[in-house]
Amino acid sequence: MKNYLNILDIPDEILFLIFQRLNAVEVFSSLEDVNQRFHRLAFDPLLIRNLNMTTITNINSFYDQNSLMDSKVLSRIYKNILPQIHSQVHKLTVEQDLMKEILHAGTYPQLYSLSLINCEGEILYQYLSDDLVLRDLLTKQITHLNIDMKMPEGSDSETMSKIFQLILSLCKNLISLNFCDMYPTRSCFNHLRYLFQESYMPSSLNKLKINLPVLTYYLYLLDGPLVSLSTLIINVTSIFHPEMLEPIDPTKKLPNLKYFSFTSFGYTFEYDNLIVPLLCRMTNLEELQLYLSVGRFYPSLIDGNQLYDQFLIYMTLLRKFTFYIKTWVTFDTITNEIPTSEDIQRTFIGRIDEPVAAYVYMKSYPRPRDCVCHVYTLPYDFEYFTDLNNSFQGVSRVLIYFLVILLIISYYCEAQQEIRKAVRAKTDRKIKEANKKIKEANKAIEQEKQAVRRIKNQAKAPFKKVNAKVNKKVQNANRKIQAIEAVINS
Amino acid sequence: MATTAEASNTTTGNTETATGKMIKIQSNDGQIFEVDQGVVEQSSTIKTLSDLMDVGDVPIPLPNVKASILGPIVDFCNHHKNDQKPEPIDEDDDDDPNKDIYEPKRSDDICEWDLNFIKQFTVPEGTLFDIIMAANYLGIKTLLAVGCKTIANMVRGKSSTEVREMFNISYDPPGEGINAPNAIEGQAGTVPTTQDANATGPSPQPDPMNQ
Repeated sequence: MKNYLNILDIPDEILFLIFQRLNAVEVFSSLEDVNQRFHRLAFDPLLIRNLNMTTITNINSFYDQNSLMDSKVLSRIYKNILPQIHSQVHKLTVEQDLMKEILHAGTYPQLYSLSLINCEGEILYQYLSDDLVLRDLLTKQITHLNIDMKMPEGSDSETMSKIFQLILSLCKNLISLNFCDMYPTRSCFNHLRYLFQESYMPSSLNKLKINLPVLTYYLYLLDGPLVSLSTLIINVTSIFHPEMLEPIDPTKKLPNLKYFSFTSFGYTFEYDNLIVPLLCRMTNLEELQLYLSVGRFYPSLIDGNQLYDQFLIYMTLLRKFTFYIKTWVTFDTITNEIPTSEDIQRTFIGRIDEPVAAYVYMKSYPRPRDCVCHVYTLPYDFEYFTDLNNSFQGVSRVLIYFLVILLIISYYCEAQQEIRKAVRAKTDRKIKEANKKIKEANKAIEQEKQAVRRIKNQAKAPFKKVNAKVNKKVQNANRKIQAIEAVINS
Repeated sequence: MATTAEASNTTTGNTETATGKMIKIQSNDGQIFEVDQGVVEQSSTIKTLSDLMDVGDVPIPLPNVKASILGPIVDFCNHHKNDQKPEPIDEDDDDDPNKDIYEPKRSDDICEWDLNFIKQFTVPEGTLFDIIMAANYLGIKTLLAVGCKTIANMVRGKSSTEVREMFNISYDPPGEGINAPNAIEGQAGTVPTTQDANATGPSPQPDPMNQ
């Protein structure tokens, strides 16, 4: 007989790899109770250390975010499992809907990192204001906090401001905050316009990742509560709102900031007034990432010399500088001094360690005298492309096609998946129906057969009677013949 | 299909290819496969052995892998030899406070070729576990990951009973499991230890099917 391998022949290390592929809820609902060995693995401190209690199957999907977890299974986890393991949890990821049950199931003395997923503004604010367990954790323990909001909730400016404010005031030990930028498909730009109205105590926050609609709101925070930031990753849709702007004082330094990543999706005409002075304040910066689209009304393209003279010269500790900067210059007078791509590229030599590509061209539409210049470090380091075409060095035509196709495929795949699911469901249903029909047909055939048998029997009955009579008569006749023969013989 | 043909060619004794030096490996039932550097690079075990031994034309013996498993593995490596190398991911940086950009672990993202590849190995015949064990022994991380993901996907959404049925696991004596009536009070507050649980407690039940 062949000696087939069983899952139990696999050593613990590999079983553990399988366990690691599942999140905690899946492990506790499917594997923990299988046998003693699985139970022991499910409770392994390494697995419990970083506990992902989300039940949403695919958070990045636009369609499929349903939780399939049975409430009975969940309540078993809250009641039986969490009380045993809470003391070993260091990092915890929970959905808003299950947050209360999970957080109330233990005291989590070692918890330092908390991720709240799929939150809604109002409800999260309620929790942050009223839930004593959550408030206590945030005040005393949490150093790393990640917040993910449901997409449609992105617009309620006041609540979002309040939440941000509450987090800063509540989390006394907070080092790192990711505010609504956890998943690429769900990064929403929340209006935090009420922020600047408040005065804050300085926060210990070290690292902040945030999406904002307008940069200027945020600038007020840099001097106040967020003075000790060393890493700042910020994405904005636009930069400037004139009524909120006080002039930036470039001499007021931000000495703690070591890493600054700034992505602005909209055009700005405030590069020289706002971005440059802001960068000049970051004298101790070690890594800088910029993604900017700059508009100018005078014929000057942003090149290596400008970047150097404007702020790089002050950043003596800078180790890495990656950027994509697009300058769009609107000329009012005809000028012959438009530099070529090579000219622009040459200005970076000796200024920046990374290789730089440049591409300059005159626009023919909508205004024939407009000039556009793209400069960017290679390899291209950003998730976004603007005005993408095959003139880009380092971004080959093949890559562009590839990216476009990738984009189409990613949507297509998800749609396909949905279609496949639907088709499968339909097929299953049809098969079931067909099976049912077959059964019914079989039943009907059986009934028919029975009926036929009955009719046959009924039909046979008179024959039998007649036969019986005939037999009887034959027997009688025989008997009589025998009697007659006996008489004759005698 | 090209990879299969290529893989079967390797057994017939084509020596030099564009990728350079060919190396022979031998399964535990004596079959010899000839593989190129692109394949060798993916298996840390074969790479170490070939570096250490400088075998020349002598096949490297792989006593833990049989030909019926080694053949498909060579196919797998041939298919993936031109893949871009993934950036090394530190698996123990979990506690690095500076690294908390949240990236959800996805385990169902197996590419179509790999999905079709892994389909030929099954649980009832134990070949799925054969391939996982072999990938582990040969140090082929990508294949090990595909195997583990496959099992994780099989388990996802199932109840413990269904998992036991799927893998033919016998249940431990009642009263020992976490859901046993006495277990909750008994275990509350205690920390289950990984290393010693096996040594002190009853050993995990080996499946009777494997005896």
